Amino acid sequence: MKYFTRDFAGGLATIFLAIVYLVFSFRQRVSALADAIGPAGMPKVLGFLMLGLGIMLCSQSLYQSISRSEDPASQWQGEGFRLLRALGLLILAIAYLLLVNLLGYALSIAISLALVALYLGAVANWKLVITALLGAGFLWTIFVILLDVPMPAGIFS
Amino acid sequence: MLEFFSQFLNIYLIIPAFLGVAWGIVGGAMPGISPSITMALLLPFTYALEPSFAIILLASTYVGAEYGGSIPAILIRTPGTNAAAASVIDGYEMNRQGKAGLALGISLYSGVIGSLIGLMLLVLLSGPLARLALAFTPPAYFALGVLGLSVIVSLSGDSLLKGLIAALFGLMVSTIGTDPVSGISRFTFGLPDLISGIEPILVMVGLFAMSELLLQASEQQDKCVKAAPRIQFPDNKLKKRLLLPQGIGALFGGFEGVMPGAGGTVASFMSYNEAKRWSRHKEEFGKGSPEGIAAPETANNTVAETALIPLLSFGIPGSNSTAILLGGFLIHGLIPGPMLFARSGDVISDLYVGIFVAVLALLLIGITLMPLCIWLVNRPRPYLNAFILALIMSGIYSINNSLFELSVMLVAGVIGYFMRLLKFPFLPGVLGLVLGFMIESNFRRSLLLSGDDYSIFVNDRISMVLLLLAAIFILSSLGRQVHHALHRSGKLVNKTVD
Repeated sequence: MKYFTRDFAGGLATIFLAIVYLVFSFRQRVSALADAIGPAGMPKVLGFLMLGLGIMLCSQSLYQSISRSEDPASQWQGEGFRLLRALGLLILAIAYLLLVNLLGYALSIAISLALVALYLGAVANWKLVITALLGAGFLWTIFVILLDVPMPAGIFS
Repeated sequence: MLEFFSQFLNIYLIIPAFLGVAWGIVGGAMPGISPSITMALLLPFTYALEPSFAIILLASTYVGAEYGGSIPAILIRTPGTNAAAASVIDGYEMNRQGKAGLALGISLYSGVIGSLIGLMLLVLLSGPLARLALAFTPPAYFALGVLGLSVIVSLSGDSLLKGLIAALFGLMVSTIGTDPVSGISRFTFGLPDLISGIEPILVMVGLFAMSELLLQASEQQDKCVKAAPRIQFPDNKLKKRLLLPQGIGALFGGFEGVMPGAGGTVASFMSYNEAKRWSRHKEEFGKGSPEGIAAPETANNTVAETALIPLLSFGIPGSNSTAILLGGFLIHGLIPGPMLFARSGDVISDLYVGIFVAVLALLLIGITLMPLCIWLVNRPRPYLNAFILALIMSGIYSINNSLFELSVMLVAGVIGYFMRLLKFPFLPGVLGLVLGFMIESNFRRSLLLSGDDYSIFVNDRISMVLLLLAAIFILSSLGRQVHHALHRSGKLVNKTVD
């Protein structure tokens, strides 16, 4: 793990992204109306630049690890439990995304408010329920009544 | 003068100015609801109104919305508008230090100053500034984009390499959608939702707000200090310190506002960068510097007025918001352009007075509204974060009523979360995304115009000056970075030897 610093991980991610982007850039269809540079011109330049910078970041990180000039605070500590906590919140957001068309905006936003607050440490009591209902009512008033946004009505409409 | 004051007291100018500003602040403060959407929602109601009343209502909404975007940027790290993204940096840091009231005070104070300067430019310099806008050709727009990108060096923080990677990432995202020259789809993977590209606000809200929520969820601790529930204006000493960044903001806001397509976002970032360069307290930037709020806020509020210059003078709307305003003019049979001043001079003078009243309204409504906003962000963290998540999910959905865009925002949030873990800066990425389309489309259009002759970028005088300026900015920032890096590595070596 000595060489696996934040910068090295970032460099690897950059190289991966650059390769994927370049693959799709080379597969880009060209129109008969295209100019000399074409739709793939700039993406190819960006992809190669990204690849070069990713390699530079990895090399710089390895050099710093070998020469021991790496700041110890930048070592990758392993983010296991913290990642899981963040993942939990993300799952709640995705659940809202999947359920809003079914349950409708008002109900799903109220449920989402209560569940997210609960997940982030709020105590399950009447205050939580009241806050979720008031919050949902406030958002519904702003977006549906004032701003006239057609939010999903759901199966109960 | 007497006529001005008699108009100033005209209730038919005061009412739309106050209503417009109040509505604009609400719209601007909602993530995803852009100033143009806020104005578009009012447009149907203006049919039945007097022309002056309608135009002032729309223009005041624009003024209010440009300011409103800074409120969530400072309080919940969520830029309400694209132009408010630069205010997130130091605004949210001040909030974390328990200085939300002062941050909002500086933002309001600078917003009012910016609006007044913008109004002055609009009234006094419409002619020359409009001619400058007309002289801008595709090579000049390309150079303007490059000048905007030159800011990246100083927005990169400690690692220029990571800043450049983030900027390239932003540029890559900007290539998603329809190719600007041939009209062919790129990187859309057969998804119709991607054909029109990815809206910058989706990425900004994801990178700033969603990643912050994910980070707070993973750390499970409240790092924010509770703010005193009142707005605090800068004292005389601080006001003196803010003069320079406000001047810089007004300069960039005045210049960028008149350029169709440039807009408040570029002006905010460039003025932030220059305020940092000229500041005596450079080390405070990014850690809660009052100057870091004053410069971008002055800039984007100046833009709200100077963006009207090409519209009124030539009928050219340079942004979505001014296009809506153009709609407002046309509804009432007024055709913006040189003849508008001759045929409907009364509407124009009403508009100028109306905007002045709107700036005063901005101050009054801002002062009234802020304590409520600060009270809201002082609520217990689990409730507040749940509300922020619900607010951004609702706001993002309301842009195009699209669940797909919500998932794009969530993906941007996850990317932002990992960027923060790996210590990559966000701002170069945001700038790359905002400027990518402008740079690529104008670069290729220039080459089409010149028959693939690259000397067009040097032969066009404006382009050459802007490219030279960009080179100077980049070299001086690079020099500073190298000096800083050498200083840091010297310190680290000394520590290791000890």
